[in-house]
Amino acid sequence: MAKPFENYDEILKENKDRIFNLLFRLTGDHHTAEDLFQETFLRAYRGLGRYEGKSKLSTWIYSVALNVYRDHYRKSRKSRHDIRIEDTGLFFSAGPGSSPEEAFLMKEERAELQELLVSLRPALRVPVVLFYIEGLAVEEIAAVTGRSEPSIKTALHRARKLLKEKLGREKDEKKERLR
Amino acid sequence: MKRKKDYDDRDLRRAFSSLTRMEAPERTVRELSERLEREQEGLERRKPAAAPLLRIRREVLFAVFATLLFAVPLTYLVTKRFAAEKAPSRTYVVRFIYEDENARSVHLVGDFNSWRSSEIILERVGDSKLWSAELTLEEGLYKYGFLVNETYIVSDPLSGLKVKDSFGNESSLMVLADGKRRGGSS
Amino acid sequence: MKIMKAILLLFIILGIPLSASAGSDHEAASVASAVDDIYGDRGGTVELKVALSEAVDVGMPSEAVEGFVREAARSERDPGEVAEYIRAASDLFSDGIPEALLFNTLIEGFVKGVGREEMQRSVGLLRSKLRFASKITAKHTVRRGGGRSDHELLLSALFHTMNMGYAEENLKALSKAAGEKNLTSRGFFNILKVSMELSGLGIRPARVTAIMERSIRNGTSMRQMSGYPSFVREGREKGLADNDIYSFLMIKADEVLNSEKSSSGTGTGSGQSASPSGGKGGPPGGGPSTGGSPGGGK
Repeated sequence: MAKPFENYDEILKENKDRIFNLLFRLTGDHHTAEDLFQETFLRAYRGLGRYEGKSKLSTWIYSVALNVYRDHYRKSRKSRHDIRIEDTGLFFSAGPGSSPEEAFLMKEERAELQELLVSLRPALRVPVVLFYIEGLAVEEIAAVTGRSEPSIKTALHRARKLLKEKLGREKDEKKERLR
Repeated sequence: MKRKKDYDDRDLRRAFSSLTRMEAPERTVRELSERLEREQEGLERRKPAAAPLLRIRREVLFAVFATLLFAVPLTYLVTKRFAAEKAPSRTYVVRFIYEDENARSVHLVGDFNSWRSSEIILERVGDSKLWSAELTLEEGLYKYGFLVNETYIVSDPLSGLKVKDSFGNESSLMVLADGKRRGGSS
Repeated sequence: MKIMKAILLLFIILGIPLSASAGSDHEAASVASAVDDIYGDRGGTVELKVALSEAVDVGMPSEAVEGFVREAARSERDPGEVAEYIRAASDLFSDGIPEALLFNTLIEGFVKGVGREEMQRSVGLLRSKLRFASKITAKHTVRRGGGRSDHELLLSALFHTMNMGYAEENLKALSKAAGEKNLTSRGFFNILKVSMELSGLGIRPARVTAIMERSIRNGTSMRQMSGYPSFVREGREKGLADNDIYSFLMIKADEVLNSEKSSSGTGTGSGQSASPSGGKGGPPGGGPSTGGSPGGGK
């Protein structure tokens, strides 16, 4: 009988980046994302061991990750992460041919985006990340979060308004600064 | 029904697509793998090693036999809390079990007998701390409880199915339908 | 000839209600004397007798009412109080709601010593619960071969789920989904049966509703749904957190639907379904397998 662990290696390989990306975008903090990442796969491992390992696996790991995230969020209640641009700068890279100004601008923009994400409350944040960043369809988001489709659409709708508003303001401020 | 345009936004899509896709850091994945291995080992160690049977002594055989003789019917009773076999025309034979070492008397009360106390007696099972009674009931849903020492009524500790009336009373619920037993807890 | 027929018809038309009321008069009389037996020469039984005859008039079986009065007297309830409860039962009965549910709840209260004021306060709530249950029940047809009992079973189940913490919205949602799939009252009852079991395992009503609603809409078979409770138990034995079990159930509820979807590249989240074991309840035993884990990330 195959050791559960051997098969799990494959599961890990296939899903690790996706899950890490999700958790990082949700928390905005690399360190936290790492912790939650490990917790997710540990939980999945414990439960998966002798469970049916067919189909829906990656979807299920998504929901485990979201549950881990939810537990973390409830515990820490730190809804605002102070993300300094210098920190996040490590993870954003401009294209090869970009000028220093461009690079700096892009760095700033991305950091702001991440900050914006984190400024959303989790009920909105999760659907936004799943929709725009992970590229899931609304039905899939509903399945993975256990919420109804209408509620996901409403959340996306609200988030869209909020984000565009904030983005618009940021853009104006930036234009001011560059002048 | 919200149209796609209402919640989907091209600008946002464009903006978010500029974000780098993160990869799980090597270090973290390695740490995780180590933790998983440790879990795996821990689990395996817990599995009892198969001890080779060298010689079975007569006394051991006898002890095993005696235990089984006692344990099997007891287990049957304990695990088949509500043994509901289907009698003709949708009635059910139901066994109710209550566990209490120190009780002096246990009665069954519920919708099926208008909660009349001291009517349906549970009998003690041998020397065990179990009390049991068997009822034939028609298909339906019945609230019930156990009257202990003719003093107080408790809901069934062995069943997870509980209902509350509007007066703050809790009782257990037994659902009898379709020849399958319901109402037992895990 | 025609006149004869007309007279005969007239007799029949008049005769039936006359004999019926004569019969019920008889019943009323016997119940009234029962009250005398039960309450003896205690005062205040007039109101009770009136309530009783009204009950019989609307068609309530006399044994049921009599039984109720006996139990009330056993718990030494005042006849005036009992009269009020019987009036409530008659009111419900004339709307097609069987008296047993109300009576049993009240009797339990008597036996457990609930005070008169508290009980009277709660009767209104009980009535509205029963009315609601009845309204919902009426939306579901009785299957062929099923009798009144199917309806009563469903009504009873609805009533009890409300006593388990299910809100009207939950039950309305389930009823709506059941209606869309044209489930009979028996079918809907089976849904509630599984729901109650899941509640008995500690899963809260809103979640159970979500799971069952989704399952119904996706056409999940009754057999598969019956397997949900053991699915939960096994999950717990394996040490899964309840949140994860819930997520898994939600996805399981979608399995039926997704197994029919062709492999569309919609996002990275949805796994391609390696055709689920149709109709089977809980998870299969045996070793793990990765099955159809979908290809790479975005």
